[in-house]
Amino acid sequence: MKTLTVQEAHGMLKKIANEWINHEEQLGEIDRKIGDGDHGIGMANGARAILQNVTETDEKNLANLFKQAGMAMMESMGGASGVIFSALFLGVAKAAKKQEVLTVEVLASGMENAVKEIKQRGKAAVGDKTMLDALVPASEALSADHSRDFVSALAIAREKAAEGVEQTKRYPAKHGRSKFLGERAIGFQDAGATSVALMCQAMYDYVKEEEK
Amino acid sequence: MKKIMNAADTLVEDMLAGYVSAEHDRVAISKEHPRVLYKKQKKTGKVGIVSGGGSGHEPLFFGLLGENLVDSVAIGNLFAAPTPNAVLAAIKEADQGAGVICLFGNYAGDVLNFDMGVELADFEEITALNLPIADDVASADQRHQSERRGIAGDLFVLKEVAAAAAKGYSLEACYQIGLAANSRTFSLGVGIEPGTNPINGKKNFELAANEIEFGLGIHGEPGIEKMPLVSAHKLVGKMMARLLLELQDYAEQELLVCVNGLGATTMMELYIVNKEVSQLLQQAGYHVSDTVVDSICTTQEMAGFSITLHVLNEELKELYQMEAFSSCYFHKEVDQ
Ligand SMILES: Nc1ncnc2c1ncn2[C@@H]1O[C@H](COP(=O)(O)OP(=O)(O)O)[C@@H](O)[C@H]1O
Ligand SMILES: [Mg+2]
Repeated sequence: MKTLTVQEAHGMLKKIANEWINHEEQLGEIDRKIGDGDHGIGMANGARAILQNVTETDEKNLANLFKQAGMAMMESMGGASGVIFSALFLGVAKAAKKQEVLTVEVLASGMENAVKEIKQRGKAAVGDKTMLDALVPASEALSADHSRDFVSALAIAREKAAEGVEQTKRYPAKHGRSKFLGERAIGFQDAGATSVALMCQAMYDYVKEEEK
Repeated sequence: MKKIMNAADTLVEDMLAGYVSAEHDRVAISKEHPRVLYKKQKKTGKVGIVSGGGSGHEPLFFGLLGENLVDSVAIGNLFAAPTPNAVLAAIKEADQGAGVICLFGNYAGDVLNFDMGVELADFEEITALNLPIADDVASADQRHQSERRGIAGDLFVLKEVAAAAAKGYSLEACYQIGLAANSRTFSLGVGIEPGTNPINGKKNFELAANEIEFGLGIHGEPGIEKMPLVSAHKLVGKMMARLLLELQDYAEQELLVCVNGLGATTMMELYIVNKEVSQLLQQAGYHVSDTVVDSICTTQEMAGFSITLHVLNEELKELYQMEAFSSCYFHKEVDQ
């Protein structure tokens, strides 16, 4: 699978949103260990806003689809993850400007935009125990892909994201609410990184199913 | 869970509607954004004062909308910072042409959203400055003071910056007052029972029967250590020893004190705490200009309290003296 139409990209967004909604409880539990336990509620709110507000206004306007998703999250969530996760979709929207279909390349460059924007806003780096620990390796895997095929590119991206989540267990926290725990956060995974891994898994599942 | 509510998804709106009905002569919901409340007033051209943060900490932040206090607030979902658009709308409601200062607790989510709100305001030609309040000494050491969380110390910083604005100080002057007031504010809290999240019914932390958390954050963030519950005398002694360390660098001996309940702690307990606080301060040679004993910065029915010490200087003292009132706080001007 080399391209996704606007309609298919919309299908993928819905898949991501549902993945977050289905894991509301689990994300909350993870955040409760080292944060304030609201990450699941926040992501589920954002996801429901995506399901409600994203519409295919124009079958050729890919950028608008992702922009709507980003704005839906920004307006419904608040909190740290509202700005951070809306930046993710807005980064893809920027890369999708003037594109009629989504390719691995566009997605990769969108993720790169997102990483840059999130780093700039949140002043966090890889290893600080944030969602960047999953997003950066996933984004790098997409950028390094030569197959241009969604299934194989996303297979690696979701693996890298999941590995990134595992890595977060080794780090003390430097940002967000858990930063005040310092060393005591070691051993626990980061909630935001888990949401990124869920997103990558959902994208992979979507293209895998569509390919059949 | 036992909570008086209708439904999780109308929690914040129901609360805001109830607050605005109670205060309808002074406060209204913004037409620009349903999560923004503003104080009805004549625009005088002063610097605007915005505050805000997640819901669930009432009466903060809307409780401080008032005379010579806050002009507008941006309100978030339960325990989640307000969105950038809410911040933008609050800035627009507060703006009177001289710029706006946004004061809020120093949390990642609040900083991210307020930063973006300020950027959006810039597109609309409104200059707004963010001043995250960082008073919780349990959250970072003295070398990293600006990284501390914001808790009940918000009150004094807000009060003084708002007074500066009301007196016609420029945006930059108000901002400098805010920096000074913030750097002179030190709080420390203890949690003895968790609060319940009304959306999912979960407690925000766990403690054994006779255990308390020393240095607990208002969202249930773990503090410095867990310890057994001891007498008020011993507990406050331990807290004050830590807080007084922070005061060593100041020549001034004049303080504001806030004993803040976290939601379920009774006024009786808070006054007992204050007896210990005032005795210790007297022994240490400090003069207390004003004491606030109340539950202003809460987390649902969480039990526990925080103590805030704020070191005055001549300028801050004069600003603090200015009359101010809102639904949860008042200060009467006194000749000293
Ligand atoms: N500065 C930051 N940069 C990137 N991600 C961050 C930053 N601060 C927090 N996060 C992410 O946000 C997640 C917490 O989100 P959430 O619980 O929804 O927000 P809040 O911290 O406001 O309660 C963390 O697990 C982390 O991955
Ligand atoms: Mg959280």
